[in-house]
Amino acid sequence: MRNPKKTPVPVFDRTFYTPREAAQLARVHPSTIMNYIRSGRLYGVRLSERVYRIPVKSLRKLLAPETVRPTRIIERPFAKVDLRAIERELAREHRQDRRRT
Amino acid sequence: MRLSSHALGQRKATLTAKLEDLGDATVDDTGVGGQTRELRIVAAAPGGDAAKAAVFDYREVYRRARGPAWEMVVYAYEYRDTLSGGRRAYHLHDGIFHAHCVDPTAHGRDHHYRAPEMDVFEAHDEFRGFYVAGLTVRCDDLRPALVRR
Repeated sequence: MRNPKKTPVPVFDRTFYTPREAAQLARVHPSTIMNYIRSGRLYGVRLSERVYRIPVKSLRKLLAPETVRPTRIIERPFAKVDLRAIERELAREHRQDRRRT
Repeated sequence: MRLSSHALGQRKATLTAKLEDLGDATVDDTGVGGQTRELRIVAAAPGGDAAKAAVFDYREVYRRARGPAWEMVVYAYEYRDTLSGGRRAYHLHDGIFHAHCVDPTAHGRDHHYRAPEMDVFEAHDEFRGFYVAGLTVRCDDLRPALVRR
């Protein structure tokens, strides 16, 4: 939608945007933003029947994908997972909780 | 809960996609070639250079079951509001389902509570509601655990 070579990156200074604010940044009509949300092209959280909020990360992915940090994926297929150690780690906070109360 | 390898792969992809839209995500999948496998997906929101406002931290441990399947034995689904210090978590470990909750307006004390079995997507919908609506984590809807562990 944006030519990264010609158009400057929009300034994203908020955590969430309304569809109207997103439309201003994207320079499209708000109904276009709603169409993007409905089609899954843009992620928007529906708070109530008519209220949507668009996370800044989602808007960045649409308008300035080159500025989005890619997901870090770590795969260690043959590393050993110690189930007891994980259970001990999770149970530790119960003991800390008990000490606090 | 028992999942085929394929279903677990889809679960991982779906969850990653959900978290990627909220913040910078890290996926750590350990032990797929062994008998015990740990899947941990963490997202710091809102991501980018902005100050961290919330952390979604989902962790599941599976044991290899008969056939190409995995049986979940431990989970820890956590939401931490780093600005207020609030926290909500659903855990399964040592065979017991329970919740943790910190209400930052009530002395910030962590207590554990009764909770039914939770699916990660149910937990995520609840946590996302706190984050997107800007709600402070409250613990009023939870009941204290009967047995102190």
